[in-house]
Amino acid sequence: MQIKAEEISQIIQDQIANYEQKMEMTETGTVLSVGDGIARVYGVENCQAMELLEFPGQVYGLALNLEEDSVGCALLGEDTHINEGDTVKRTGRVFSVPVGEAVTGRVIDPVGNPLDGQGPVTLEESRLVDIKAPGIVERQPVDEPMYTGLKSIDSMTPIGRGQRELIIGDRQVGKTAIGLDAILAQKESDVHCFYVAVGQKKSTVAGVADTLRRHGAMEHTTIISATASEPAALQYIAPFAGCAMAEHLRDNGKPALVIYDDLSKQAVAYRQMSLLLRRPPGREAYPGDIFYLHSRLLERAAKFSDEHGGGSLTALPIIETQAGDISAYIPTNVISITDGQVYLEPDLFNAGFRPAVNVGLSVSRVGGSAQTKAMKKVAGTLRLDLAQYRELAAFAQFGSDLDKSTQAKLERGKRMMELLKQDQYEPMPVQDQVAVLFAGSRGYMDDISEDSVRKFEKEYLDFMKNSKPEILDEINQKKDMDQELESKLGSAVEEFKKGFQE
Amino acid sequence: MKEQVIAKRYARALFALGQDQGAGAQKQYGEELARFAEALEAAPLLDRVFRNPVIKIEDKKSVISKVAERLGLSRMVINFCLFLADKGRLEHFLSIQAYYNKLMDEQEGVLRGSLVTAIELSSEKQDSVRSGLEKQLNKNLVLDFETDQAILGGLLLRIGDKLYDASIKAQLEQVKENIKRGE
Repeated sequence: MQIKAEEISQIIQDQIANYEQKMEMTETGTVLSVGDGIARVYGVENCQAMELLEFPGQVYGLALNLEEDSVGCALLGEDTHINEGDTVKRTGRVFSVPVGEAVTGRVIDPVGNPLDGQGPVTLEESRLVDIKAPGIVERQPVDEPMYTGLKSIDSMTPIGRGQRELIIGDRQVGKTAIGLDAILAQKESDVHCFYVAVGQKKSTVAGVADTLRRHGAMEHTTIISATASEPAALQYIAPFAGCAMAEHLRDNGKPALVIYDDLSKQAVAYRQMSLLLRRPPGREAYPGDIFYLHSRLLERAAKFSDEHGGGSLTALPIIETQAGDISAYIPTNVISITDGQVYLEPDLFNAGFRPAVNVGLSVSRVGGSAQTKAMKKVAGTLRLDLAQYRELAAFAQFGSDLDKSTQAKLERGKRMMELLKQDQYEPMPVQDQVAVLFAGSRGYMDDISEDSVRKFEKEYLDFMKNSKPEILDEINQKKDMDQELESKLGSAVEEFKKGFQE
Repeated sequence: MKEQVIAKRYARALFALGQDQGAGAQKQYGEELARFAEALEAAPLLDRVFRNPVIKIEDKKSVISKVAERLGLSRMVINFCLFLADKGRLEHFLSIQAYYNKLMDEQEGVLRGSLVTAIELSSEKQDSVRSGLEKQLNKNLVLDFETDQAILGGLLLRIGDKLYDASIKAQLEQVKENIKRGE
């Protein structure tokens, strides 16, 4: 739309004519020193912790250190044009972010500024970023599944609503992919997703946004991005901002899923900020409260009891390890905080076993109670079987003669491993997973050659969807496998196998 | 930081002492401290002597006694200065004095501030502004009147950390911001 010059001058005239003369009262301070994204401010005596201070040029700073005669702040923007002696204003606002409908489907930075070029985010509702986690009274145990759509996770390390499940692994083993698949899997459910990108490349975040949009998952997703070029303060606050937005849903009785990608970079940003603020360094030069930083963030994931609305906030933090070292400081911290972890291994990834979940090292401490009975029945012994298979496989490498039952176990294991492979961006509904795992674990695939397992899976699912949709529906509705359903499913597999050609 | 802590501690001690001595004493000490500070500022040599660690404490003390005699200081303030010399805190004298003033102001309900206008105000106008503000704030006000063409018009009042900005410049800037934001 074109605006004429007269119209503009009209607007300006209106502005001036209707300008209320209000005296602006502000509390001010002066910049003592500035550098490395940290400013020390003298004055602003009544400043609160985590309050935003306004620097010249609409740059905001986060008050973190309140000292006897100065305030240490981390700047949330460029510091190049700020000079010693500049005036700093108090805003009286403690860091908060816009929440609710306004942020749905948007890509924003942790302050709430849009990054997707779709206009400003309306500030109808906002919420404090750093608040205490809900208490014991409001909560209830995790009992409802939060499907990721990945066979290897939903069957063996199930995640429940309100759970915190860590995704851990080296670089380039598909950690983000699991998070994205989990978001895509929520397309059918009512779970709203938040993807928090901390310290990543801008191109990666753009890729994530594009993927989600292409798969139509952006409608129920919000991306909060603080990329590597953003100041450390923004990277530090980004997970809290994402959490605050997700909490809004939780408190209104809705389910939310938030993915922190990744917390090791957030820890690094926090370390930088803390060192520059002259807080004393501890192990690996991280500040003393680095554990509390992550524990208070992850404690905010919760499942509310029905009296309190029944909302939930599921958190999937991601941690990147260096050369598989899960005993480093940050990984051990986060492992001990979360309710289990999905451990991804580069060897498996390179061997083509993707998602590269190491079944032995991955656990879910509360997820079992969030699994449907149907899934439990088909996948109950899966973990044990695979562990036995791995042991035998290592043994069988010596090439000694094997007895029949060992041979059978090995063959079954090979097929199950093959069956757990899954392509990216193709999350599977739970009834499909149950049907497939049923075929595998009940031995219907034992006479199919290993290379055709995936072909079998694909065609079998097509067959089920086209010819026997009622069975899938029944699994979905009953959420259990009784004798009758089991025999129905069994005969369906037999029927399909007759027409299957390898 | 350390300097502040030291200054506060000594100033508070003297202030508390004055409180015990009766109402007039505190004010008197304040004035005498100010006189001594003035002397220090007028004679940089004296300040240098105080700061110099090579000069013996005894010598510093005799200098203090002589200067204090000239200035006609009371026994208490002289003792205070000698005590500072003993403790090797003479270099903090100026900040102690500044903090003492602050304590005095707080007790008497005096606010200090500055008022900036674009043109110089006549003395009647200054008085009326001051008394008007005093009535509003319910406190005694000591104002420095300054002029600054850059604020264009209106006035800008600064009291401690608080800034009351009713200048034309600030208002124009706000209009500019509003238009930029498209409100």
